[in-house]
Amino acid sequence: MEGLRRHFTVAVNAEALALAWARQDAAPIGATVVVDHEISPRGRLGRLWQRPSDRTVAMAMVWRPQLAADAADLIWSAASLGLLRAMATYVDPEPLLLWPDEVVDDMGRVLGAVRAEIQLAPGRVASAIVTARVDLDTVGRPERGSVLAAVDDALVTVAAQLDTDAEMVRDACTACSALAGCAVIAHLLPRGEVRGAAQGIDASGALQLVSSTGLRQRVPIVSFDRLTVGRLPR
Amino acid sequence: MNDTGGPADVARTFLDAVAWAEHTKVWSLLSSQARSAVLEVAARRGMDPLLAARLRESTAGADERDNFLADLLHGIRADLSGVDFDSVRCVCDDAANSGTATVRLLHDVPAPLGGPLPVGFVELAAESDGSWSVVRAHGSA
Repeated sequence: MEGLRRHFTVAVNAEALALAWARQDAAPIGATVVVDHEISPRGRLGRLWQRPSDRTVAMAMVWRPQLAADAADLIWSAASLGLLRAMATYVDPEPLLLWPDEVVDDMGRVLGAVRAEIQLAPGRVASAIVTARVDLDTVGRPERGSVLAAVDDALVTVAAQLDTDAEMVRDACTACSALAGCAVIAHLLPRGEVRGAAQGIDASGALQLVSSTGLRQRVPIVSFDRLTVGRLPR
Repeated sequence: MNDTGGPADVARTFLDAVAWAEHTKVWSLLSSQARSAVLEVAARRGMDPLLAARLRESTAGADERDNFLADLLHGIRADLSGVDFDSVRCVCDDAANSGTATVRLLHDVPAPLGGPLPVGFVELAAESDGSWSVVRAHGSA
């Protein structure tokens, strides 16, 4: 495993280095970049990770999942699930997934977040760089090395499961969802919204919402901005 | 069938149904005139006439109906795109003795800025049983 990890004290961000490794040096599956201090820690939609770097664990891993291109967004769910499993070691009660990229505790505090930079080949996923960041303060200030090892192991495991049984990964994400059954408003990009009760993730990784009259609507990650918990109409 | 409330109540129910994708409720709140108009437009835009007939007669399959009503919802949402469903107020000014009513959709803004801002309207018609149904909704006053 030594050759699979590169460590940097300072870098723009872990994802950029892992991406370069994957594209220029054919980084193998599971290759990991760890950065102590990210200058530009970007998450989904390029949003900044707001926690201080000295209280953050940041790592990026190379995945080469055997997925069709239209199921590429499942990588986000799998990455979230991996982070959740790693966080379950440190947090009680068990943390929850906040689709598509966050892991939260039972108070709704963000323990960590993931980002997936997905490279497509014709009709399939060529590779993905999965970045995970953990807020050490919220997790209870465990030792940094221990968190890195836990996240690394969990991401490797879930990447293998994604190849062998994507449906199981999807079901596990649904089971751990903080939104299950909640009435939510998904704000879309560039504008608009979709409302309904959250019903889990579909085969392409999109959030499924269902209305009280049974109409199913899907929210793809690419057009998803943010989520608010709504109130069902009278 | 629709709610037995007044025009403003029915308009509010209609807006909530549109916002929360209650597709069959939206359809049931539309007047027969509005449903015919919707199907006529759909047919002009290429809908299979037989499907339009099945939808008109309520004999379409669930998938056919859901696809059609999902498109209808998208269209209504586009028409009401400037309306904040959560904060808008529905106000009906007249007693509507004529069998029709117009409900104004108002968004409250601070008094120095001019008071309630009209952001749309919903036109309703009285049915023979005394209930109200939606004829038209639009997002610009």
